[in-house]
Amino acid sequence: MNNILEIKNLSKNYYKRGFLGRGEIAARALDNVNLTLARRGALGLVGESGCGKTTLAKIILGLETADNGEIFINGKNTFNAGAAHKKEIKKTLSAVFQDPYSSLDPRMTARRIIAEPFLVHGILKGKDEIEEESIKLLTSVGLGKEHLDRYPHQFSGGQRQRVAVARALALKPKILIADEPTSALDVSVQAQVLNLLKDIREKFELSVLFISHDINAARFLCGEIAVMHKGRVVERGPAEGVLENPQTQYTKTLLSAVPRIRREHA
Amino acid sequence: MEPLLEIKNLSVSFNRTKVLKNLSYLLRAGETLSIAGESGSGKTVHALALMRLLGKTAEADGEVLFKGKNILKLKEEKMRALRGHSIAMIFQDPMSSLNPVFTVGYQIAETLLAHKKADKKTVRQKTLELLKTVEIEDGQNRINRYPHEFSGGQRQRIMIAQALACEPEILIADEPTTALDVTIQKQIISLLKNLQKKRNMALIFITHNLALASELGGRVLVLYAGQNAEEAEAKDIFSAPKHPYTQGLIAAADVKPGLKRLPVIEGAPPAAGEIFAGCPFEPRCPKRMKICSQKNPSVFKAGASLARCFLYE
Ligand SMILES: Nc1ncnc2c1ncn2[C@@H]1O[C@H](COP(=O)(O)OP(=O)(O)OP(=O)(O)O)[C@@H](O)[C@H]1O
Ligand SMILES: Nc1ncnc2c1ncn2[C@@H]1O[C@H](COP(=O)(O)OP(=O)(O)OP(=O)(O)O)[C@@H](O)[C@H]1O
Ligand code: SF4
Ligand SMILES: [Mg+2]
Ligand SMILES: [Mg+2]
Repeated sequence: MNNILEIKNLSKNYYKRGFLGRGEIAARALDNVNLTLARRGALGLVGESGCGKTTLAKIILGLETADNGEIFINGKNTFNAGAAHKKEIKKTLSAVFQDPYSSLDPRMTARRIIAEPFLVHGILKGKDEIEEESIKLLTSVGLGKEHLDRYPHQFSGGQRQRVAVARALALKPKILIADEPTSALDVSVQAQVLNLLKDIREKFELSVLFISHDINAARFLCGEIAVMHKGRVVERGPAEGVLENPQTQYTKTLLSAVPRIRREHA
Repeated sequence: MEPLLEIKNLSVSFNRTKVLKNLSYLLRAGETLSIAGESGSGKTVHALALMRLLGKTAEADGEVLFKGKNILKLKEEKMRALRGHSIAMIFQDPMSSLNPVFTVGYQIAETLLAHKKADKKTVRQKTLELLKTVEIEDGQNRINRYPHEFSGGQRQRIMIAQALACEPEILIADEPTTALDVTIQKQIISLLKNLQKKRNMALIFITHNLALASELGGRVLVLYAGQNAEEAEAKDIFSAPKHPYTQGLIAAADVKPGLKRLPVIEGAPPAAGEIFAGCPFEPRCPKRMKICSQKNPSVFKAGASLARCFLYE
């Protein structure tokens, strides 16, 4: 099994609320999506606002249900999984989201935020054991012991995203889904977080699904790129191939619109 | 040519916290100036100061000379005539600045009438022309629609139409494309470029995206912690940035394929109003020297740039 994650014919519509139950279709968020993520690979999912990227992430994470299609993790279908398997899936997958402000509970210290997954899954019990592991995690994201007792508002945006990454790594997941993890950050801090994701990908032997509208970031982090447009995957393949030699008109349009630093001016 | 706008040592404080410090620059008719900097660097505050829209809690110091007259000292009624008429601004958030209860046609028409750019007879025709100028198709039908019936990019263009209604000499566009997709962003940038050329309007383009400033051309002013860090022609600043902060930003924004690691600027920008004895970039600067933590550098000539950095003393 070379693919850790396989997505087959996945579709999802959002419906307007009708008078009696479901009304007409409000959005075709996913339209027959097929994707694979290689074990220890990194797939960059790019596309413009509203094309369905977050919907796909939510369905993989079990936060939304699909209308049609299947998802396989380690070759096992996740949709008809039993309770034990579901728990296993939960540990396999983890996620980092766009907004480090709202994804961390403002009333919890970093210590508590990182310990939470251990407590929920009953993995580490002793206080010292948890502290030791938390410090290890903080160190691996470039923070340290001195940050354990800080609250989210006492961190900068980039540091908050580091805490979110540390929490996502707590259960030693196999797959990390990162949905726009840098777009809420200051320009000069985005590159730090991208480097961090690259480091932890290697260190923790992760497979990464990196969702972004920043094509340059996806190219930096990912060996493969999939381009989405209006709920469909319009093109996918090795990053250099897709970006240097795009095959579809939509990818060409998208790439030509990305602003570039120009050294020559007319 | 006499400058259209000259800003001299403009400072703004909120509750005695200085968020903009001694900003100075010149703008001539028909010129483009991009103001770049990260969140909190003072970009919007500077624009609101020169529109005199800062509100009572703010204190502005220094001079903002429009055609030689200090705007900061004008009576409010004189300022009202200037605002919109000579200097117009497109705000950062289009949804909060278009009124949701009026049709877009009404809102543009209102501006035209208020600035006497049309009368009752011609106002509909002029409104349609403006919608066409900003490339909103099917104006006859669109004119009667409400802001929520438009996409983000279309709303942004309606804001531009409204700002153009009074034929300003200076248009300030505050992050007009931040919330938009790159394909729409590209349309708006070329729209602004064309309009500016056609109308010989000066454009102040505020952005955190250096690549956009580079696409726009003209001059670039980089702000850091409420101060100008560097100012130069776009071609010069992007080919030979002088200030270590600009150098870091450009390196980080200019991702080459196949890089193992991205070049980064370590650390994070300072909090609002943080007080520095020395250069505010010193904690993050790879080129800091002893003097840098002792004195705030003034602006020095550095090749084709002006840079606030002791390396060029
Ligand atoms: N809960 C919902 N109810 C109705 N429509 C929804 C819902 N969530 C998403 N949609 C719609 O589904 C489509 C896909 O949305 P999604 O959030 O997946 O896009 P995205 O690619 O993540 O966009 P962005 O880059 O803006 O985050 C959009 O048209 C969106 O408006
Ligand atoms: N009304 C206000 N009262 C107090 N502080 C303010 C007020 N408006 C702005 N500030 C502060 O002034 C500083 C500069 O803000 P400004 O809005 O100019 O930033 P900006 O460069 O436009 O950032 P962004 O890219 O996020 O729009 C910030 O620290 C901000 O918190
Ligand atoms: S003055 Fe010193 S610390 Fe500041 S940017 Fe220049 S070299 Fe760096
Ligand atoms: Mg999304
Ligand atoms: Mg702003």
